[in-house]
Amino acid sequence: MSITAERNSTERNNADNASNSGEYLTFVLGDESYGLEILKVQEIRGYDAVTKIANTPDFIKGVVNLRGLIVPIVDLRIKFNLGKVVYDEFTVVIILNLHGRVVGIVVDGVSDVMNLQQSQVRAVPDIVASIDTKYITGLATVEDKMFILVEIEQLMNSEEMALIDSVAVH
Amino acid sequence: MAKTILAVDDSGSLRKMVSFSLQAAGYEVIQAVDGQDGLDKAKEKTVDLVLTDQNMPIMDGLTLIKSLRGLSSYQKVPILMLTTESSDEMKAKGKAAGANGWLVKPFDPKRLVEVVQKVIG
Amino acid sequence: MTIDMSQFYEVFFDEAEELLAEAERLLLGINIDDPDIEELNAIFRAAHSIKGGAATFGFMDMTEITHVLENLLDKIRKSELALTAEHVDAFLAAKDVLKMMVDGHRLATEVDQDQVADVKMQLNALSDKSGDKSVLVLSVPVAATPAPVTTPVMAEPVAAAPVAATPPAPLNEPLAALDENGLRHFSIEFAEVSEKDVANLQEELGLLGTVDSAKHSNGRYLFTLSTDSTPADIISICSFVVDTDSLVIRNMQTAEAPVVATPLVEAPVAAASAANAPASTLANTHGKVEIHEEVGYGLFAMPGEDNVEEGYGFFAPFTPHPDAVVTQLIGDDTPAATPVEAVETTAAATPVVSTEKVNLGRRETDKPPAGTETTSIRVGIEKVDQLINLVGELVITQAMIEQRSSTLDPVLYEKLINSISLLTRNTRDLQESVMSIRMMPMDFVFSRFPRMVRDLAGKLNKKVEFVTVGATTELDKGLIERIVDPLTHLVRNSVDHGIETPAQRKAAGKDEQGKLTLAASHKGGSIVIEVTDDGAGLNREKLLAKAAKNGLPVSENMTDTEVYALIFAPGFSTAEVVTDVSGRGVGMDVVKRNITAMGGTVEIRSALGYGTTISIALPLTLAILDGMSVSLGENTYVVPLNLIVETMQPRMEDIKTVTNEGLMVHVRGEYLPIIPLYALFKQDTEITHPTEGVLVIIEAEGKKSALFVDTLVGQQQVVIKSLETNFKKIQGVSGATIMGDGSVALILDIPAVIKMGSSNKTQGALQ
Repeated sequence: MSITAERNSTERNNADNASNSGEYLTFVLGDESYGLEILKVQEIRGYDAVTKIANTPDFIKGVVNLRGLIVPIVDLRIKFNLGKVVYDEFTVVIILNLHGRVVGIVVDGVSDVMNLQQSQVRAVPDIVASIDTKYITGLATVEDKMFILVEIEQLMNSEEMALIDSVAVH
Repeated sequence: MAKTILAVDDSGSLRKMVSFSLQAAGYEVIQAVDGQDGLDKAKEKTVDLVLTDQNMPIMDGLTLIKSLRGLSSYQKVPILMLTTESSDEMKAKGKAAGANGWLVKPFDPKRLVEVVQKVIG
Repeated sequence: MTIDMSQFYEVFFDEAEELLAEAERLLLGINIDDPDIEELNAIFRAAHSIKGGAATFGFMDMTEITHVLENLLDKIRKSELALTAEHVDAFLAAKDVLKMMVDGHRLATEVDQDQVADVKMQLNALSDKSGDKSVLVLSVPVAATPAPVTTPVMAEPVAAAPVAATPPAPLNEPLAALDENGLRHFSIEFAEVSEKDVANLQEELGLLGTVDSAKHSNGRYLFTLSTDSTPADIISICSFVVDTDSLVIRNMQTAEAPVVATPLVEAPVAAASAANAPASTLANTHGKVEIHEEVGYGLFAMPGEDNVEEGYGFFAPFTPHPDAVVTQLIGDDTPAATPVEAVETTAAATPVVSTEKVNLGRRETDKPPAGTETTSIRVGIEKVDQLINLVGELVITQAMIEQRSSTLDPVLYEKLINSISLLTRNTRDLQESVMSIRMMPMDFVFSRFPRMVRDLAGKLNKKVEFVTVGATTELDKGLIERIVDPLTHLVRNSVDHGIETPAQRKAAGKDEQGKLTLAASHKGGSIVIEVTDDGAGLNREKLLAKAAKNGLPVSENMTDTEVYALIFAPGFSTAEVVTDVSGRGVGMDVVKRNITAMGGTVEIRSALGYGTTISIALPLTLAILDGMSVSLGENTYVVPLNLIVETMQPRMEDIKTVTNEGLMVHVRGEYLPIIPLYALFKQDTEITHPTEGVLVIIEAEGKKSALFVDTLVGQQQVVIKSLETNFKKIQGVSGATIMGDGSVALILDIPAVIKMGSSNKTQGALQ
């Protein structure tokens, strides 16, 4: 562990985001493990019936009623062509709160909450994940397992997610 | 036991300013919106001091003062007129009606409290 | 004590606005030839109250205007001056300027100084005519600053004691005469204090003038001071160092010059000192001493008590409170000839300050300020909206419980079911009362029109009587704000185009004065607002001709309602001449669009020669929509009820296929395009032919279409939720709502759906 830490400390400078430490919620999409800042997570719940919205991309499943809030649900498995798209009692929705904007994402599974030290994070090689590298802030290795750290807010606000009016982007 | 002051003014902002200032100085304040209201409230509870505006709808200040002086419980209660009219004529009228003094508007809260303290401590 | 005056500003602004509105209302209604004295009094009082508040809170611009206004009004109400139309105009102009000033102070909006100057000139001209220059004299200099309370009386007693702006009352005779150097000489005696304090005092007094000597005798100190200041100034200075109770200030004049010899101004003080202050006897000797004046306040004698024997009753018969500061200013053995004066003590109050500070400190800890008696509270609208939202959720939850309990055995679960029905009733009541918080009387809108109509009529040389009905009818605040513009346009339009000139009216055998009525009333779940004029009415033939000229599709078969509705078509205006009144580029189409956007409808009724009524129906609130739920596949959609003309199950023979137009349905003589919602929203359903489903005839922006859905679910009120809060605007959808079962239903944006329908030609998707 300490060896890893040492090696990473030199590479860390390459990572553009200098503060990757903190608590992360890890989730699985297909064969890949991802991590997103726990502070962005509002809650985790099962998949309920959604109300379909016309003329939206297929990965936008629709909207649900979350205690009176109308919340859009995005299936990241469809978006990134990962995992098996089934909806059953094991399907997990991570409800994100991105500066007051509440959005749900469907993933294959939620694994854990881990506490990452800066030293455990290294920069992103060119191609590692199904998600565009510009939304990835780094790679973390914990107990020989690799996690891709996602800048979830940027990703959800991106034009390709089609979750916000395009004029509102940027 | 805090002294109670009846503040009669049709202007809400002045009434609020007056009550707030006097409350901050430790007095109880009863507010009334015109002479009639003032008279009614004065009857409900004999206060230690009456501050009244002169120009008000329904019943003006002078009438209120006269009416109060007509009540046995208000023979000795100090009454001050708060008035924009500082003319001698108005003062004479006020005096004749039974007021003990007057305070010219505009006044600041400090001045008001000073005067009130002089009168009732 | 520091009291932040700005905390009262809002109340003052609100109050000033109310008073201005009231004054305007009264001015507009006043009979110039025979004004009602009560109304004049009320207008006077409004000016008077605003002046008082403005002066207190330091808004001198407003004080200035209201002062002149008040003077004029006073003369008029006392019948010293006859009211003229010119006066009313000037007063109304003054009201506008004052309102502008209120806004300027409150919202930092611009104040048009030219307009202010104009109004001042106008008022001054009238004042001159009335022989009253009415120069504004501020009675308390302190008010000249926006936050009078901050005037540093404490720190700079001298500076804070400018000479009273009010001329001294005649009774106010000068205290001891000034010497040739403009100075007075005082001896100041006080009880023994520490050496340090003596030095302090000497230093302090040095600020006022020359301290000649400081002697110590009989356990008392004695200073001699030559100064141009008043005893009050001396007292203020001394009060910081010595107990003012023990302070004795004497005039030191030439032997024959008598000395100021009254108990100081302050009444209670004098009363206290009266017993041992023979000087008070002077009062009656002079026979004019009842009033002891300070700047801005005074205390006078009780009637019948201002006689010597009674013990100097000219200061009220109450004993000063022991806490009250007692300051004496005792004269030498003063002969009765001395002008008894309430010493002109501009800063006489100052010495109290230090004492007061102490008192306040103590009192404040003893007892926090008690709540004031108010009948209303100001609450942020976001708090109300949050409450409304929460109640909305509660209603939905309650509906869910109700729905889920409906399958229970009513015998087995009798008590539970009873409780649920009680919950239902309570929830509805709660919702109703919560919604009512946002409700405001229509008067908020109506009150602006009398003035507008008056000005407009004046400009157009028309005579118009303006009447409002149902001003207390309540409407959601959000709608109130949004209805102002359309209504303004309609009213303007009625005065401009509806009501004829007096000559035309006379020729038509009508009263020269036209009548414009603005009425509001409740009708079911809606509020109906009607603008009615008794003018020329709409001319069907003219409208048709004009529409044809503008290339609008018209036919002689159109009903009157349809013809009248033409004026809502974009770019349609019946006025032959564009006047600067109505011709502002905003057409009736915008009015209609605004009203539709609020979930409302507009309808016109008219009779040629007799007048026109434009009737607006609005939902009671923006947060709740009367909707028709329709189903499509597994989804439910909500269609705003106000946009539904009718619903129908078409027969095969009603359906026609038109090349390039897709399917049309024949309804009451017209062919309407069919918009299959399933195709528009690309949604799966088994019902793909209009005859299997239901057609909902919708109308928006003058266009009708038939929306084809699976079935009608039912009519209900829904709470509108924005899709954009967490998501984005979806074409054809105006929002969402949560149904009784907790699922989300989308609310259709009917105007958009009609547009999508006609551009997409999705009808081609029909098999």
